[in-house]
Amino acid sequence: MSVVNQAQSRRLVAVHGWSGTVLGLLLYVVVLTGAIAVFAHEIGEWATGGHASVEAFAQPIGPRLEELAEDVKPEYLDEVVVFSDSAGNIQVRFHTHEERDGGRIEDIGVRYILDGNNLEVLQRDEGWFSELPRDTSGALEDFIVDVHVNLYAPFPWGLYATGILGLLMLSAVISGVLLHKHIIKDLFVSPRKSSKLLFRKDRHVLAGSWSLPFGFVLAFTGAFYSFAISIGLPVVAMVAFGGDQEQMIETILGAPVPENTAPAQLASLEDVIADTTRRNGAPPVSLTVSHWGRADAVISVFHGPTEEQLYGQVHLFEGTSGEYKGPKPIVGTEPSMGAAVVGLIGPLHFGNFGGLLSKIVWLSLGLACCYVTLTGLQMWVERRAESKAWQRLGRLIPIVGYGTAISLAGAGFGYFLSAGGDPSVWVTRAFVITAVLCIMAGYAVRDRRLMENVFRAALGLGLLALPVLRILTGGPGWGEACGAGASMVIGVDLVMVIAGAAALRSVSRERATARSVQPAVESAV
Amino acid sequence: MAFFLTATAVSCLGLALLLRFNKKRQRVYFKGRPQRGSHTLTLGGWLLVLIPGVALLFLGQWSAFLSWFGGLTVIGWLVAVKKPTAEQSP
Amino acid sequence: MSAELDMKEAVPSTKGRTALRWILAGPVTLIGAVLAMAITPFMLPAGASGVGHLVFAIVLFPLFWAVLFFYAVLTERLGRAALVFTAFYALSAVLIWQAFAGS
Repeated sequence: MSVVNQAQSRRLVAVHGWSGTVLGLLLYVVVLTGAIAVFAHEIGEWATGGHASVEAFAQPIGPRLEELAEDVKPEYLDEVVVFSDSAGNIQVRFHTHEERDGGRIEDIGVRYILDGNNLEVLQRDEGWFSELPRDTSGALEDFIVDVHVNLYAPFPWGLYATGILGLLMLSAVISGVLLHKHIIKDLFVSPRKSSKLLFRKDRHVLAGSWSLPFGFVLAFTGAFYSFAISIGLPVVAMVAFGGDQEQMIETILGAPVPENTAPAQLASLEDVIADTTRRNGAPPVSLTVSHWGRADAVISVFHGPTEEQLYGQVHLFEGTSGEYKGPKPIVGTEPSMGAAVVGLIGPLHFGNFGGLLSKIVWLSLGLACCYVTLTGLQMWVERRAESKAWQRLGRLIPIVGYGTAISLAGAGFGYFLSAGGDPSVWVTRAFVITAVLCIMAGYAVRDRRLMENVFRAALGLGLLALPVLRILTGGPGWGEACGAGASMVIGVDLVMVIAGAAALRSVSRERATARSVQPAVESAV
Repeated sequence: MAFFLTATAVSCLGLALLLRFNKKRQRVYFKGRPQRGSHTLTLGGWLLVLIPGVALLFLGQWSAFLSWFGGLTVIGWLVAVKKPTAEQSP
Repeated sequence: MSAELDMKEAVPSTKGRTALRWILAGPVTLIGAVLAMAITPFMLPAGASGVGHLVFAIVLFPLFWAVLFFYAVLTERLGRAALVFTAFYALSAVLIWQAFAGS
């Protein structure tokens, strides 16, 4: 039995439908880029030609960092962050936190990009970190993540937008549950083919019911991420600490160690890395030294998730002696339920806890949510076939549906063809140009079936061309990648080829069905 | 990985049972044949689907549990959404 | 079908009720959720590490929003809902004002 009465159910249909349609296309863009962003790092690795899967801190970095520290302003030694990027390079960021004109605290300092194999300096930039030239190796992955997180809009508007979309998705999931009378029973119902609309409805409801639990989880955690930074932290700081951000940061991150500015030699980073690797069972992904060269220095080492631990761990070491001080919770100074909850949100949203396996599952979950959004939209529009305005929106469904995917492939073209230019600029340009072309094509080709076929063919050809283009523009071929141990490059190439071939095959199958239906219709007439 | 694979395999077995003996599906896929299945079979199917998840939680295999749960919802959807062929549909 | 239902619901004026519902479920709910987040730290214990009340306030924000939203959408007594929201706003304002006065 349904838990709601008829009038309530009518309002829920309105909520479910309107939330899905008015912002459904934007929601689809966020969900699709989110599904792909699960593999953003792998895509970044693929685009840069990859690297042997060597450990990030395989080289002795300590002495090299000492040399680099000589070459930056002393105030930038306040905090030093070291990590390995998707191109296999080591990034070192000497910086401090200063207030900018708007009153926002921002990072300022020097960023080094070092060759992962020999620690040679590849690039050195100095200034406000938000204004440094984009780290070009990450242009493609940064773009995908930026569209997903901010819809490419500036802070905080992009976060507000994606946050509202997250809440909308949440409302669609909940209203869907309330509306559907026999969710469990109907999980196995076969889509009815008696009418086109019924068939579509059944498929939408099936996909919706199956993706319900994770639709909820992804929407909830997504809305959390968007609003936590843009509204949550400032509001809570305002109320709980009377606006005292410093006190809030101290409470959340733990009070800083007592200040001691006396100069002191930093402990051997190699020893610390060896120690933390032994404790955690795997090497760290990044490390931070605060108060470099001072007696109150602290080394924090970050580890990714492991088989037993869903979320990453931080270990603290005394900076001058290298002595182990214990694990550090994500928030607060001691392990707590709050820290566990915050820790869980990451893996639940990103699916990054179980290597490639969990990422593949999360990608599929994201794609399932895309399917639910698009089929829902399509149904809503088909039920309003007599309205011109809805039909105009209806035309946008395949344009945005296929267009976003095609434009993302276009962004890949931009990355590879940017030779000499700034890849991050070209990635964006190529995305926009492809999107405009898709919109033009969508309105130029009147026949809906033909339009969809054109889009599928474009997507298929685009995906097939990307690996070729990657190799033609100087990326490693399969033999070379294999020799260098860059398996991710081959893996992503293969996925592109398979997905591209599948898109092309769907075109030829579609055309074959159309041909077989045509004579039947003619003979019936 | 081994935990995930085992759990998913067992659950898929349960899914297969539930799919085969679902009344509404039988009307489509086994048209004209006598309806088969019972409450016991349905219950057994659900137990097979869900027990691996409980087991993973019990064993503290959080990572495998999440992958299993996510994977199961995707597999279930992909199987259930299958288009009946022209002859099967009413 | 919708005409019948509209008739049933047409106590004072259907248009006015729909508008009120939109306002309650839209901006009023969104601000209400922010207020709920703001006052949660006063209600929850700080926990082992002194951050529990802050963390849960922020984590539960989407849930606050969902509860208020579906209350506004599903309620048959819109007048009472408007009162409930007003009372909630007032309570939050008092709590927040107290926090500032105290600090």
